[in-house]
Amino acid sequence: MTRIKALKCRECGKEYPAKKIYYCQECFAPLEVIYNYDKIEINPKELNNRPKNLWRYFELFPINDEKKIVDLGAGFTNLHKCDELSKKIGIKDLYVKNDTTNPTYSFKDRPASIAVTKALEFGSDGVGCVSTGNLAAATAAHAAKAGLKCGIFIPNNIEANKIIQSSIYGARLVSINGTYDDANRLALQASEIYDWPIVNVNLRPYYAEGSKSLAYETCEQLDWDVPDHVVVPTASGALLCAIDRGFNDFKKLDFIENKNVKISAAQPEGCSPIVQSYKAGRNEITPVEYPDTVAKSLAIGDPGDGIYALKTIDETKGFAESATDAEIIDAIKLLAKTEGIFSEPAGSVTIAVLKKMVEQGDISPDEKVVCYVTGSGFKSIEAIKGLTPELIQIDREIETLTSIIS
Amino acid sequence: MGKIKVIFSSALTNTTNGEKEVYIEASSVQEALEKLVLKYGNDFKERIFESEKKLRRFINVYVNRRDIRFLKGPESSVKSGDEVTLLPAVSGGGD
Repeated sequence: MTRIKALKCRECGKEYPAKKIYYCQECFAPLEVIYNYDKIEINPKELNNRPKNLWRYFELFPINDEKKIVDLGAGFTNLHKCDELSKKIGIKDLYVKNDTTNPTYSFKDRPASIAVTKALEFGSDGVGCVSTGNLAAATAAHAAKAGLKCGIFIPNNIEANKIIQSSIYGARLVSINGTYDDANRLALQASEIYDWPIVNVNLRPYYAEGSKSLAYETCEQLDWDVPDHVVVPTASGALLCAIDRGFNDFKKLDFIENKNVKISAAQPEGCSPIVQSYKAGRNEITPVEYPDTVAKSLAIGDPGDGIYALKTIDETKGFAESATDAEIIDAIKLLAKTEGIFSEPAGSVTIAVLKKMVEQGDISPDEKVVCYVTGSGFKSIEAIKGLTPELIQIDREIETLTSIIS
Repeated sequence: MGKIKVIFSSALTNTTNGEKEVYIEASSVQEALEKLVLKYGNDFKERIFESEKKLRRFINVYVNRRDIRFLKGPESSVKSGDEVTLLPAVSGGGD
């Protein structure tokens, strides 16, 4: 019996060998990796001797061969205690998991690191992804490190820095005249015709496992405690579900007490299909055809894990809430000015939504709260253009400065 | 009623005698799917439909690359020259 048990259908439960498949051959539902937990030999005390990145949890990822690991140092980012922001928002014990400091400046380095490693294990000579920008850079960088060719599908409205960053790693980018969901459909068809390994299409069950590390690290950095409540930026819902699996893994391994962690979803109002369903009490998702939001990383109208995100929110007694573009921009400024963290809109949506949930009484001031801030503001400069003040331009004499100060 | 092209995901081709695409006459998506069930039989039907006339949740149907959920669902009309594509619904993963 091996550590990685199988791929299992999330609907009908049918199990498959852990190969390059991603949906159930019977009912088309997504597959997830399942493990033999009694074969996972990992000791929390021994973790101190391991590298300070996500690969310290190797046994909890669907990788067989340690020699194949593609590592740029993703993970083990700072769990930032928000002393100033907590006063502004009214939460006593508030943390930001600051994933803006990952190798390509977003949390996507976590799933990309796992997926590109898996592509190597499958013997691929290239790898691809569909992306709103962050996964593009993460996949491209890890592919470069692994010596793999990289091809990326993007919608035609993503931020310039994300395109520049992905290109510099050597990836070929194909911009689709359409939305993320159009790019996604095209990538799926391409993966079928050309058998390309696309990390968030046919490597998706493996790819999604990387984001579990956000939950693992949160527990370890809280000295093996668990938060009462976490707020997760949500597009496809894959991150939210992975964080839930991460907490559950540690419970199964008895690393943390068996306490519920409320998991709440934060979405931008201009693309909030999960929030809409949550508020309407539905367990199905009505997709958004044309997302319209400053949080372009979250502009996924047809969330692949939407129904599972709703289920997780319900089971953990969390909430789903949205924020307007103006609220998201205000939250970028608030987080930067109080805590020195410069987030992209998709990260600061958690702060905007947390503020709203506290005002609504959904979160109590006594709860220990972690907000996942998933990408750097430098990736989305367009979002804050016009907010920077005019420079004070002076001549190079001290008298000029003095005259201005007086 | 017009002649439309139906394109299958590779996930379906073991129920379509290996055919990746087929031309049929239909005036709506529903009618097209019913004709495909008649052509390919019960295996195909069970892969596509969860129950009588209810499509499985994890199959997306597109008419000329537009998801039928943004049209009129299975009742969406089709005309000669249209392309209907059947694909698994599970992919993507931005956040």
